[in-house]
Amino acid sequence: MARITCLAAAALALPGAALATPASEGPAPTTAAFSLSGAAPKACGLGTAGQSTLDIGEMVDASTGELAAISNPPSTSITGSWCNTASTVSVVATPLVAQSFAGQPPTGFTKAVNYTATVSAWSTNAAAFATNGNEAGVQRDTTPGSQPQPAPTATTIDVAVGSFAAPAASDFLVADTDYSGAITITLTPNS
Amino acid sequence: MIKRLVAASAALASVAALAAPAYAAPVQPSVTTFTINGSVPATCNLANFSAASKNQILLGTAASNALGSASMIDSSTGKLNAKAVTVDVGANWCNGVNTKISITPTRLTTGAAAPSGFDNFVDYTLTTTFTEGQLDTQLNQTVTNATLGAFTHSDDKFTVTPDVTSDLLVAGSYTGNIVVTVTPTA
Repeated sequence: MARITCLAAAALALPGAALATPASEGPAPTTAAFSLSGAAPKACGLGTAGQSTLDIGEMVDASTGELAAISNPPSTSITGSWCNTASTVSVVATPLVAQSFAGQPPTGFTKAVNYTATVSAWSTNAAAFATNGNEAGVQRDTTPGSQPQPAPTATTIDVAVGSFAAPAASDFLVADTDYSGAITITLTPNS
Repeated sequence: MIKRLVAASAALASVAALAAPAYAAPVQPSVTTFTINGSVPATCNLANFSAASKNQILLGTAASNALGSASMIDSSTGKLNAKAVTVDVGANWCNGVNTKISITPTRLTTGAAAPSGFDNFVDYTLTTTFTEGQLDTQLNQTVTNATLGAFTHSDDKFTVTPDVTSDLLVAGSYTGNIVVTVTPTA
């Protein structure tokens, strides 16, 4: 009888081990968090210009040979421009220069016409650059005009030209069928 | 002859006398019933869920999960151009027929303010091999304590597909998460 008691005690001890973790508590949930990440780098994009060429037309006053008063010069817009962070708009331009006239113009003549290019609607104040070429069309200062935009922006940029002037008020314009300059506009995300 | 019979009877009586003590105190059988118990607790093996190499999902313009290619925008338009990314969490199992699962996907966001025309978040749809259909963060869709049951999966996957948007994304680092809770239940 003593042996039976010992055997019974041993047999009952086995399920006791299985109950060491009460079934009522249950296994713990498994929780996992998948992290998602991505980035939108600082970037800007200039859209599409309504006109790639602004044609001023004839610039000479036929009666004086000097620069005519140029009223209502053409303008254009750049639609779909954007920066996804604070940015700076800048503009730089080159004088209208007679493309076929080689060498230095005669004294009293100019082969260059200066003007001011203005870029507006991006920043609170317009960015502007006034060309400063001499009679030969050489500029002494090419520092762009710039204005800040502190917020992400998506809008249409307006481009205008005006304030046409010869390097010297009394300059005659050399004859040329093609006076040409360039306006360069840049949107730069601020670092 | 009679004497011999009597003697024989005496002998029989003697036998009877010998057997009589055995029936006087019979031995009773001793019976014991043992109960043998065991259990199989509800358990899951979801080891890959928490593996660092498995639980990071990087969205980018390439359809891969390669760390380092994290730009989500089209550089010419500034708009979201992130591709769908699938993360493979391998084999998993649960043995409880009433095992529950909860899934909460959260959109990616960044701290930068978003002016009109810009977004500072990225919504996505989530598909998994644990659930049917998809969960869209734009609609705040989640799964809460759905019965998953007992299963063995050889190749579980989570696929994140960014929603198409016409807005631009403000510059910044975007983060979100997907929280998955599996509760083993017998």
